[in-house]
Amino acid sequence: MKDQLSNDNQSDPQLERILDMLRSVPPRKPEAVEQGREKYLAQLNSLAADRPKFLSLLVRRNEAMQSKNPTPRFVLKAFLAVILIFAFLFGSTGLTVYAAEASLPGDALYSVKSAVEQTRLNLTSSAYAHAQLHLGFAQKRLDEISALIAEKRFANISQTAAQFEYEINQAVAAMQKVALEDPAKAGELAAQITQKVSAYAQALSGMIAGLPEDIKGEVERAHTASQIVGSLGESSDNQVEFSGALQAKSAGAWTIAGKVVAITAQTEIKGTLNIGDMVKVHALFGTDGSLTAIEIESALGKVDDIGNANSNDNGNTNDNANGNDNVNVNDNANHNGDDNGNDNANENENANENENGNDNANHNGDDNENENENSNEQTGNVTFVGTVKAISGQSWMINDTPVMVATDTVFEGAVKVGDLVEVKAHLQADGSLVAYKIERVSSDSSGKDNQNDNQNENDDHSGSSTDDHNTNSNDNSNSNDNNNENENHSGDD
Amino acid sequence: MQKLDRQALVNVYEENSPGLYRYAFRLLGNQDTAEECVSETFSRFLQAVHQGKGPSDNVRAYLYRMAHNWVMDQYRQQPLPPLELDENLHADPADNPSSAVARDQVRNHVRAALLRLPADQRQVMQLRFFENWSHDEVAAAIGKSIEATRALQHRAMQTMRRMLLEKEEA
Repeated sequence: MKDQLSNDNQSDPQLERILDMLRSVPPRKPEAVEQGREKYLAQLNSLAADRPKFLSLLVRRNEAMQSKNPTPRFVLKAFLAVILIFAFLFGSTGLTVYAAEASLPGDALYSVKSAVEQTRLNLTSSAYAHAQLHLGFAQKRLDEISALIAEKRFANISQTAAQFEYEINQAVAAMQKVALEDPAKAGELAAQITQKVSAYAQALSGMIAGLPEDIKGEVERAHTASQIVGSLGESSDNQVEFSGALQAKSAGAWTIAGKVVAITAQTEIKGTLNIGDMVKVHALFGTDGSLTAIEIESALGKVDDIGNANSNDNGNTNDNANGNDNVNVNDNANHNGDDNGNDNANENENANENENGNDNANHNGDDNENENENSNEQTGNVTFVGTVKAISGQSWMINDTPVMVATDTVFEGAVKVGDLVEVKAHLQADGSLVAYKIERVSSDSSGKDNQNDNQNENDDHSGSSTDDHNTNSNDNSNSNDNNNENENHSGDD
Repeated sequence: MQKLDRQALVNVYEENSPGLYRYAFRLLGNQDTAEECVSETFSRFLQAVHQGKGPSDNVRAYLYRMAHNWVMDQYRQQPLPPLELDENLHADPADNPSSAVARDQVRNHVRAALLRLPADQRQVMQLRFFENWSHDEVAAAIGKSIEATRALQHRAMQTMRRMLLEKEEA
């Protein structure tokens, strides 16, 4: 009884001592026991003759829980339930599987499913078999939780999670009974339980995230319970460890991760632990699934470090000359109370490659190619006009161009130094000119002056947002005083 | 009935009969009446099963409820044992082994106090402390939540203390 009182945190030694007086009960008289059993068996045998009524037990109970005007669907289910019970009792498996697996908490047929499970327990007296049955039932509850989540039937989840917890606790309790009689067999059973329950814990862990907030608590509690039972496999003396948020504190019990943990005078509590703290519990797992704390400490490290929240804010702002701001903020908040080993490797790679060096590399595609060709083509024969500057034998000087006269050179008119003449000559391979005709012309100008003004203004059409509006102004003024045409091949005006 | 379901019902008896006897004895204080309680409880259980009114899930809880009701029916036909103060109550009977009478007096006194508890508080005290049921099991048996079961237990403890200790200290 003391254990129970301690677990309930209502320890009252004086009252306990008095209540204990009522605890002991005199042994039953063997003849009374035998008489009672015989009476029971006799009644049982007499009722056995009326089998159909007995078989209707569970179904009728189920009907009583339903509407007085059952729907056709329910009638069908009730009918199937009758068949199920027959099937179960006589070993036919097909229909058993149907009903056992089909219904979920909240379904009309679910109470039948529960009853069948209870019957299976009643059919078995071995603690070993009980443990395995409870373990199997826990798996079913887990499947039901999963199905309820899938169907968004959240209202039934809490109850199912509590039932899951009950089943795994019962499995452990049965295992502990086995341990009293057959430690080797209990060890084998413990391995099975811890392995399966650990897997259950993992499955539950994956389900919690998708749950509404008001349901999470119950499932988290079931998760914690399965973690605890799972950790029993690592313990030889029913001691377990688990972590979770400290949710409530009272004189004799704390609630941690949904589990009530008894606090006794022997419980060692390290440091000051407050509601909301993450704590690690080392506890004794009772035969009834209760937990009595041996030691509780912060789950975040040494108690001395608690309260040291270390926050390292590394704000790195990198401004590029190109006008693209690269702001890299690394906010590393260290709440663990331990060493602050925050390596802030801030590699700021600017993905915006700026090729705008403002070097006015004009890639605008508007090529300003100003080709001012003053082409004076001479194709073997050359004709030009000039003033005779000198006459020396066969060598004449017309303007500044030496021209040779030959014996067959034709002279039109009397030509003397100072006359303006038109010269027609052959261009020799060595570049010299040999006149084949020299004709005296009038002395006034020919009126064939050509003037080309080429002005090119280049606007930057590259689309760059940077200030690289380049204006290249090339003034090419070529004044050619000759008789040749000047062609402007510029792409621009 | 075929072999399987007959055996299941035999198992129900074998598994629950000793506990029901203890439960009944603590409330009745008489072995013969406690055996009668057990016998009647199982007889009613079989009748209920026969009529389709038996338990749908928790057979054990159902049996304890029936036993409790049977005991209360007995006390409706006779006065509750007196809740008398006894000058030996504070002394540990272990210190006075010669006084079997004193032990009986203490037991009767505690039983009288237990019987004066409201029915739900009495059931919680019985199942939780004397039968060592878990809160979950007790909650399922009395059809209340675990939290409500805890509260009932707390109130039962306070009431028992008032009846057994504080009155005496006053």
